[in-house]
Order: sequence, then structure tokens, then C-alpha cells
Amino acid sequence: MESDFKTLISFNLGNQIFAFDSLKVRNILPYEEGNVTKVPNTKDFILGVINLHGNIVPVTDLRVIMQIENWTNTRDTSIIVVSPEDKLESQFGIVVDFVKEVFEVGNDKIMPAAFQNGMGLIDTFEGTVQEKDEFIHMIDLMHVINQIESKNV
Amino acid sequence: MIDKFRAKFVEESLDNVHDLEEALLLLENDKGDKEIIERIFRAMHSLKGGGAMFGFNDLSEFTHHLETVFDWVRNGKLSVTDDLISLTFNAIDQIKHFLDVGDLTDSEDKKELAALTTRVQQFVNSPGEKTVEETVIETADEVEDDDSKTFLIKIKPHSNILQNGTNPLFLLDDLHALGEAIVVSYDYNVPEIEDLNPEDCFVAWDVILNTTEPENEIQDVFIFVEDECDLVVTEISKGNILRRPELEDFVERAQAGEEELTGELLKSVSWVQEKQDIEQAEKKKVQLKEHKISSIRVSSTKIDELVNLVSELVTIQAQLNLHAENSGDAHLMGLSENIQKLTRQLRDNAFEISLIPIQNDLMRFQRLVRDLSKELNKDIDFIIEGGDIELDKNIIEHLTDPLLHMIRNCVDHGIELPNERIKKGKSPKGTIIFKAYYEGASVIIKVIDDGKGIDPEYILKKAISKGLVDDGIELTEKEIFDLVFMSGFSTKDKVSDISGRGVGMDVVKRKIGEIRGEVSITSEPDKGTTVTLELPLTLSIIDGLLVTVAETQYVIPISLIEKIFPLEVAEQKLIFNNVITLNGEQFPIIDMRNIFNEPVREGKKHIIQVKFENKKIGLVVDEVIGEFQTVVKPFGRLLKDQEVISGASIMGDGTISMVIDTNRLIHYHWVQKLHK
Repeated sequence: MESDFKTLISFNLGNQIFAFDSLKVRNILPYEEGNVTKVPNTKDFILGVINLHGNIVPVTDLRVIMQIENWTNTRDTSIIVVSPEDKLESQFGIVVDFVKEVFEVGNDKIMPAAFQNGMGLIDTFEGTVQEKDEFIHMIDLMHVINQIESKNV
Repeated sequence: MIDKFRAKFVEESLDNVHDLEEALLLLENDKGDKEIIERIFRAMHSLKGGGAMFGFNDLSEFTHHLETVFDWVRNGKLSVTDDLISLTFNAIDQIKHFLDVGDLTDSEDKKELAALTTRVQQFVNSPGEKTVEETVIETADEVEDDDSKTFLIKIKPHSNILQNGTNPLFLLDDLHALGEAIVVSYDYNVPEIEDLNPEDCFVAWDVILNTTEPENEIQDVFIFVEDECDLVVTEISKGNILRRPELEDFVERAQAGEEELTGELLKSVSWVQEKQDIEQAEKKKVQLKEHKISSIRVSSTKIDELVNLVSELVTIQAQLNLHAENSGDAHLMGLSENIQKLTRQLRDNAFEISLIPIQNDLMRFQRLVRDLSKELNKDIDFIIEGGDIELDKNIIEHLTDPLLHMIRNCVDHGIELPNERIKKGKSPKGTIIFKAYYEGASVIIKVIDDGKGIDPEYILKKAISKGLVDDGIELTEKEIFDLVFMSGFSTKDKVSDISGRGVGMDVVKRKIGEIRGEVSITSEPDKGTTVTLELPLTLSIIDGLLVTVAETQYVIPISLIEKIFPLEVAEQKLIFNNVITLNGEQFPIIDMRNIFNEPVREGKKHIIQVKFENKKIGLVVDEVIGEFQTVVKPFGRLLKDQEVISGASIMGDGTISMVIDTNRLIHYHWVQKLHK
């Protein structure tokens, strides 16, 4: 049975707010450049790998994936570790500017995506939610993975 | 709950089916072997019984018919024919299907089952097939199936045996461990207490031992005291005679010192003549079997878990080691060292557990060769050498498909039809040899056929016509054979039913590459083809050499390293066209900074010389840090297509180093060069 609301995690990229399914999130870590070991011969959106409790987890930069311009790393820059297929081997980290909050939204509050055009590798958005006076754009994690994998060869 | 039992039943039944197939293949070679027929009958019987109990009614009913046929065979009412064996193979497939899906619901399936059942029933209904061999069976029954033997062992230790610390009683215990024994001790040589020198031995023993071990096993017990005692081992009888009343008489009299036990004396006690004891002996055997549990069944997930935990332990241990060394605390260092030793042992043990012999997997290949050769009217012998070689179960799982494909190729394309073979002056019967053996830290598997082979000229022409290589290219024979592994290369023009399902040797290569293995092929026209696989023993833990390239740490598997050279700035002039001459050797080198697109570094470097196929190649790195035992962890989904890096490893201080797959690295480098 499909529940009538979704639990989302929202985060900032540049001056926009995005969100995806929070049930896929496994961990949130501060991003420190020194902790990410770079892997040679990879695409620029793959920053490298981190050691997360003894597991090797690849880290991608959503700002590069979505071709956001003029970003800098601050103390708020974080890695959201997600596991889209609930399997250890599909875990990966996503770097965002800062993580805002986890919130619930009724399915009836989700409007069609406001963005008609894609951003970088992301072609489509799942929908848009209005929270107070902010608009939050929903991203489908599986779409992100599929895009990364198709560009990664 | 019942589901759990059903799953258990299916698992056990698959073992039974496996046994059945194996027995059937044996029966094909020796159609009169009663023991094999019994084995087949037993396996069918337990399938039938279990099936009914766990709700596999179709299975049970079908197996019942099959069992009836083999009951007739068992009683000599029916003889084993090729038809019967083929039919039974079909039946086994049907049984596998039952185990897979349970009772049939699909009407197609049901029709098939009915047809097969009828064919099975026909065997017992056609009276012409009967052959009477009852007399043979009578005698066969009498041959005792107890393969133990009874020995008389006379031990007379020299008086000085105690002086080097030997306790002869332990020897008796060792003998006891081999089987059932009666010991007679002779103590009449023991002097009066005041004359007794407590450092001398005065006692002698006779041991009557019933054991299934060979005689040299008994001799081995005495291997260290050979010179300090007189030992006579005589085989007195087959089977167990320890309970014979005559023997007990002899023992009593010997104990009393009336008559010494001798081989001749005991040989008069015979076992075979009287049947009443057989039952008792059999009871004994059952008891023995129940006492010894030589193996247990554990689910493979548990083993995976164990190996994972051990891998974690190895990582943590490395951290402890580092911490202990930094602290300078001698006590802590001692402890850490001990834990390191234990961890190593535990690691080796855990890996041994996850090793399984290739044999288990070979069954289906035997079956495949048999079925395919029948279908193609070819006559083929499939010979297995080294089936007891053990490999990590994860590797074996990855191996099945490529091997299946390779063997299919041999049967379909390799071996010619019998009359074609005769024309070439070869035996009409083709041979496929499956050969496995250890070589260093690898396992080598060869699939050798004596078929028509491949002409290198043909491969080259084909590759040129497909545009895979340029016309007029100069290639060595080995390079030509390697073309077979390129995708888009399939020598057979027409897609055949057997092997041409769109998968070629490139898939084999990729699959083997996934488990860090290598494939190569050699062939001679009309002599045959050999495909060789080189596989690592285990996947997850390796001994590696830690090096750095542009501040990043990399691990190179030690098993592949030949030598390590420091490369001083002055010596770097010796490099000419990517070849260096060092210590009288000349070999090509690959700069790792170049591979990883890092800026060139001036100053001292190191060369790690590694094996690649039959060549030696130097990898230029910045620094060599040292030898580490590392756990190779997968890179996760996003990076799984990484060309040259097979995984990552977490070091003692929590940092990550990348594990290099040198074979792929070198290959990648050359391919890249070709494209440029």
C-alpha cells in the first residue's frame, strides 16, 4: 500500500533547495577534502572514495553533476550517503552545499516539476513542493544513478 | 515452518540428484556394477520418500515408477542399456524441475511428464528385456562389504625405550585410535621389586587390531621408535574377528601365559565362514559412523559472514599494530604481535573453509559433454585431472559459465565427427581433458581438446575482414590468438544451436577478468586447442606492496612482483623508448604517473618489476612504503567499471589505498598506445 505522504531530506545547492527520499539516506558526514581519497582516471563529478565504517564508499559531487556554477566548500558542505537499492554495494555519497532538514509532505502537496529543463546530467525532476515561501525541487535518486552510470563509461 | 523443512528437503534432494547423476555416469562405463545400481536405487528411494513427506507429490509418484525400473535392474530382471541410461538422465532433469517448482501446474509440463512416465513404465512392461543373472547376484550378496582388516601387532620394546622419554602406552593409544583393538600384555619378564630398574622397560604387548586403515598407517605409529622396539605386523584376516569366541579363547590363554599369540594361530579364526557375526559387525559399523561427524553442513551466507568478519579483524589488527608501534609500549607491542599471529591463522582457516573442490562443479560438464556429443553424433572422452583442486567458492561460482562455454566450444567446434577424424589418421574417439593444478599463488585450469584446432592465419584474416586490426599488421602468434577475445570476433559464420548464442570468447575473458583471472589460448591445426585460465586462490585478502604515486597510496599484489629496483636520477638516463636496461636485464617500463594522468615528477623513483603473461614489465612509482596484508574491498557500484583498479583497501590508520590490477593495467596501457 502506498502511503499518502513522503519523507524527504532537503538541502541547498547554490541558492536553490532540492530534496530526495530520506528513507534512502544512510549517513550524513561533514565534507573534508582530506578525507576523500581520489581515484585516478575518473570523471570530474566523482571526487573519490571514503572509508565509512570499514566500507569503501564512492563520493560524487552533485554540484558538478548539476553544473552549478561558483560554488565553494564551507564548513556546511556535507556528504549525504545514500543506498538507493538498500544494498551495501550500491551505497554512494553525494556532496551538497548544506543539509537543511527532514520533513514530511502529503502526496497531494506535490506539484508537477517547476523546472522544465534539466540541470547538467539531471534531465527531469520528480516534482516541486512549496514549504512556507520556499520552493523545493524533488530529485529521483535512481535517475541520478542511471545518469552517472551511463556517463561513467 | 514447513517451508523451512521443504527448503532443507530440496537442498538435500539436490545432493541426492547430484549423487544420482554421478552414479549414472559411472554406470554407463560399467553396466554390470551392482554397487552402483544399489546406489542409484537408494538415491531414488530417498527422493521418493522425502518427496511424499514434504508435499512434492508429483515428484514422489514419478520417482516411484523410476524406482520400480531400477528395482528390476537390481534383481536382475532387467539389464542396463544405453536407452535406459539416457531415459534416466531425462528423468533426472525432470526431478530437478520438480525440486525447482514443486507440483506441476502448467499443462505443457504435465503432458511432458505423462510422456516421460509412459516411457519409464514401458521398461518394466516389455518382457523381452529380461535377463536372468540370479546366480551372479547370489554370490554377490556373499561378498562381505566390510572393508576392514584385522592385524596382529607384536610389540616388544627394548629395555632402554623409556630413556628417551617415550611412553609406550601412548603407542597403544594411537593404535586404539585406528580402530577396535584387543591388547594382551606380557609382564612375566618383570623382575622382583628390589631388582627392578625403574628406567628399564620389561613389558611386551600383542595387539589384535581391526581397522579400515592400510598397514602402513600402523607402521607409522611406530615411526619414531622403530629402533627401540621389535615390531611384527601380520594381517590375519579380512573383516572383524575380534568377537569370535575362538579368538577370545586364544587371548585368554595368551594372557595366562599358556600359549603366545602368533599370526598362524589367529589365521585359523576365520570370519567369512559364519554369517551370524556379520550382523553384529554391521551394527558396529553403524555405531562407528554415528560417532564420527566428519563434516557439517553450513549455509554459505554464514561462511561469507565469517570471512567478512575475519577481513574486518585483519583491518582492525593493522590499526592496533600501528598504534602499538607508535606508543612504544613493549607490553602492548608483544600483545599486538600475538594477536597478529592469531589473526593470520584465523584468516587462513576461514579461507580454507570457503574453499571447495572444483569436482562438485565438474559433474555438470561431464553431463554436458555426454549429452552434446550424443546430439552431434560425436564420440568424446571427457577426462578430468585435478578435480580435487580447491578454489574459493565465489570464484567457482563465477567460473561455471565461462567453463561451460569453453567446453561447449570444444565439443561443437573442436572435436570432429568420427569419420572425419579417421580420415585425418586420428582415433575416431575425441578427447577433452580438463586439467587443474596449483602454480604459485594461482590455480591453472586447462581445457585441452584434440580436435581440428584453429589456424592463426585464419584468425588474422578474419580479424582484418572485421576491421578489428589493420591490414598488414605484424603480430606474434600469441597476439593473434588474443584477437579471439576481442568483442565482435566469432569465427563461426553461422550461428549454431550449441555454442553460438551470441556469447563469444570475449565474454569468457570478461567473466574471468571479473575474478582477477587471465585467459589465453594456443592451438595447432588438426592437433587441437588449449584454453588456459589462470585464477587467484582467493578474492578478498592479498599480501600487497604499498607504493605511492602522486601522494596517493596504491597496493600491488606481492604474488605478481618479481623484483624492486630503486631508480636513481642518474639511472633514469638509461631509459630509452620506454625500455630500461638494469642489472643486465632489459625490460619495458610503464610510468604510473602517465597512466593516472599525473604531472611528471623529477627525482628518485622506484621500479616494481611484475610478471605479465610470460614477460617482465617494470612499473615506475614514486615511493615504496612496505609490505602489507590487505583486505580488498569492492569499490561499489558507481566505480565498478574502473579499468585498472580492482578495489580499495583500508589501511591501519583509516586511510584508503587503491589495489592495482597489474594485468589489466598493462593491458589498458597497451590498448591505449594502440589507439594513439
